[in-house]
Order: sequence, then C-alpha cells, then structure tokens
Amino acid sequence: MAKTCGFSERRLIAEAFSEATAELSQQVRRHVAGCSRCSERLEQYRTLRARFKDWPAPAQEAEGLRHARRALEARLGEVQRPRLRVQLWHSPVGDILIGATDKGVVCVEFQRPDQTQRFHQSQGRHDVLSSPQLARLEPELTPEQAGPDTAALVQQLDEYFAGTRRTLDWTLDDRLMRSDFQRRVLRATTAIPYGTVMSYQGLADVIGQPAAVRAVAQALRHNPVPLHIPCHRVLGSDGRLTGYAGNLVDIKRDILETEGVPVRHTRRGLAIATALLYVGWRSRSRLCRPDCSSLQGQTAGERVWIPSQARARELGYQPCSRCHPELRPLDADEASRG
Amino acid sequence: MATHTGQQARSLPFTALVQRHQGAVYGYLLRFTRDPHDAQDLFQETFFRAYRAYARAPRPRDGLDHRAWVMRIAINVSRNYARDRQRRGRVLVAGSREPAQDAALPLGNGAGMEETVAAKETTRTLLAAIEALPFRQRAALVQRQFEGLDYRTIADNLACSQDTARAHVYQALRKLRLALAPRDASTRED
Repeated sequence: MAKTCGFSERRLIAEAFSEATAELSQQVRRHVAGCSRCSERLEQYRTLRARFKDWPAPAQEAEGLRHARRALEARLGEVQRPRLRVQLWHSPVGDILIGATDKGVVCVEFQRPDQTQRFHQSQGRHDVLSSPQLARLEPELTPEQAGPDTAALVQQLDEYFAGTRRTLDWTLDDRLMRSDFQRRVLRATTAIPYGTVMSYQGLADVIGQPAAVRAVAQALRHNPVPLHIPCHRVLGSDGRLTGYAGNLVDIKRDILETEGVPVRHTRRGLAIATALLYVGWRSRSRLCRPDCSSLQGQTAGERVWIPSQARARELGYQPCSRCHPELRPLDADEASRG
Repeated sequence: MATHTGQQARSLPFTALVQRHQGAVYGYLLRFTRDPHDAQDLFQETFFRAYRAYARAPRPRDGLDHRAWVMRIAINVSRNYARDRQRRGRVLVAGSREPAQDAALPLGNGAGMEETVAAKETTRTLLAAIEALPFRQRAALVQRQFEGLDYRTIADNLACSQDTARAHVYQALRKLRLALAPRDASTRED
C-alpha cells in the first residue's frame, strides 16, 4: 500500500471546489507543493470540477416544466376535493350529526351537548371540528352546509324514530371504515333484522371468527354509520347493553325501545329483558320460548332475540315443536296473547 | 386552537404552492433523472403526494414557506425512482435507454474526433459512478454540483445538518474521482 501523507482529502476537495477558507487554501497549497500524490489528486478534483462546469444545462427545461405542470393539473382535476355536507339534526334520542359526500352517507354521530354548542358557534364553518370522525375527513373533503339531499336523509331518520320506517334507504361512503375486517363485521351487522338483537359472540361466529369477539366489538365501536348499520342490535352475551360508542348506552336503549326491544335496569346496568324475549334459531328459522330445553346446545351465532311472534312471523320463523310458543306466548308479547 | 394552525398552513392555495416551488422541484428531478420524461412523471408524483398531504403539512417556518417540505417529497420520490431503476437494472442487463443517453452526453467544445470519443467515455464512466452512489450522496451531489445550491438549502432538503450535507457531497466527489482514476482506487484515505 502506498505510504500516506496523512493530509485530509476533504481539504483537497474544498480547495478544488473553492470552498476553502483563505487559511485552509494556503495550507493546501503549501502541502501539495511538497506532496506529489496530493498534488495529483487536487488536479483530479479540478478536472472533475471543470467537467461539472462543462456539464450542459438540460435542454428545454422551461418547456419540460410547462409540460409537467399541465399533466399535473390534469391529474389534480380528476381528484377534485370532494364536498362534505354536514347536517345537525335534533332527534328524539339527542342531536345527531350527519355527514354525506357525493358517494353517500359517510358518518352519523351522536353529539354531546357541548359539541352541539360548538357546532352552532361555528355557524357551520368549522362544524367538522366538533366531530372526531369528520376531522379525519377534513384533509380530503371540503365541508359545506347541508343541502336538500341531507334533508332527505333526515326525513328518513324522522320516520325511523316515529316507527314508520324500518330501514334507512341510504347509500354509504365507506371511507371511514378502517379495515376489511371491519367491513365484514359491519356487513354482517347490517343483516341483523329490525327489532331483533344478537350478541357480539354471535356476530363473531357469523363471520367465522369466533375467537375475535373483542375485535368485533371494536369494529362496532368504530362504526362510522350507526343507525344505518345497526350496531345497536348487538349486545353482550348476557343481554347487557355494553359499549355503545363509549358512554352512549342510554341512546342505545332508546333506539332499541324504538324498535320494540324491551330494556330493563339491572344490577349490572341496562340489559334487554331476556326472559321476556323469544329466542330464534337463525339458520333454521325456528322460534323458541326462552325456557325451551332445545336452547341448551344453541351456539351464540345461532341465537337471535326477537320481541314478538308477530315480528318472528314477518321474518319467516316457525314456532318450535317442543316449546310451542304459539300456544304459550310470553306475558310481554301482548299481541300474541290477545 | 389546533384548527387555526391547520387553517394557516393552508392559507396558501395549493396551486400557488405549486407555482412557487415548481422550478426547484423540476430542476432537481430533471438533473437527478437526466430524462425529461421521467422528470415530468416524478414531478407529477411529487405534487400529487403534496396535494394529498397538504392539509397535514407542517406550519411553514419563517421565510421557508413549504419549499423544504415539498423538496423532501421530491427527494423521496427520486429515491424510489433510483431504487426501481436499480432493481430493473439488475434484471435487464443491457440498458435499453443507452443510445438515447449517448446523444445527451456532453462533448468537449470543438474537440477532435478522438477527444470526443474519450470525453464520451469519461462522461459515461462518471454517469455510471453517479448512479452507483448511495442515494443521499447522489441527491446531495446533484443539488450542489448541478443545481449550485448552498449547503444550508441542501441540508433543509435532506433533513440533515449542513456538515452532513457537505460530507455527503465530499464523499460523492471522492468516489467520482476514484471512478475516473482507477489506478488510485486501491488506496485508502482519511
């Protein structure tokens, strides 16, 4: 290996590229006067610099830039920021914020009173800020005041709470859904009929992942479109009303009662009155009294609670041949008793 | 209020942001790729990414507006480009674009035929050496030697200190010198 003089190559570069201080420049010049190897290298760096200087400027840069700019504008034009229409509605269960894009309803959110207040203070300008869901959308959407289309959505909600409508005939924009798993859970939830309830465990069984019961509950907790996707129809296995968007269990009760599902205060919180509800077999469309012996081996995925025989008939359920609910209707099911 | 920073950061309409920084972005990308078509593609990609992230862009620092933010996106985009090219290069042994690049090689002024061939050869070696540089060294070199940017700007664009930016450039230059002087390649320095 060649003997090194120990002189830093960085100093040679600084000198060759005119980045050296006057002092450093002198040092370099003194050194290369007596060191042929460094002198040669300094010359190589100077050659390199000269080559860079000769480097031709790219041809037609301005023209290329204009071209690039036009292409960019065309592409941005395709993805115009979609509009987000926001409407606040005073429902019987409290204030509800509805957000809709051109694709459909993107979120429904129950509002605490302080959020409502902020909504009004903002006069619709920063309305999205009162809603964590809409805040997530804000980078990609331009919020604006609600229009006639959101009024039509509200009309349907109004009918729903009045008991004259069972399904909300909305198209959805699913961009707030977080994963394919969540989409699967929410799709399965949508299939739970009006006025019936099942358990988180049951839903986990239905989507074929019985061990994922907590993940199912989380997926429902972050349901961006409650009411339309009826996560209120999913309860704990013991019938308790758990985890409806955090502390909104009272709202969950109100909604269930709107759908005719009786809810009671128990020592462990609000729960559906399982003793007052029929139990259906989903796949066999069979209806049992809650005390039927055939229910012993029923899996959670099979179980659906149904408040009345009339509702069960509408859903195509046949009475069980063992417990005969048609002969011995439940006390609470007054219509069938009458 | 958190919202206010968001409002301020977006006070400049996106098209104005493009207008303000398009020259810096295109200039860098053109010199990095040495191909106007690729540069135009990457330009589009850069500003498209910027567009999608604009609402979350950090608040502009004094006098800097969003230049460094946009340039960092451009640099990331060029990094992916370089990576893709390297990957493809490994598959396609012969570069199909070589002839086109030959035409763009710089030639000595009024040089004789032989000199021209030698100059072309040197330039080809140099270009290969630049492409073989680690990405940050290459990006720093392009900005310093071909765009003439100062170290402070390069450091902002690369999100590093000025000393680091300078070190990247110097390491790149040293490798280029070695590429042009292969006899010296075995020696170690510093």
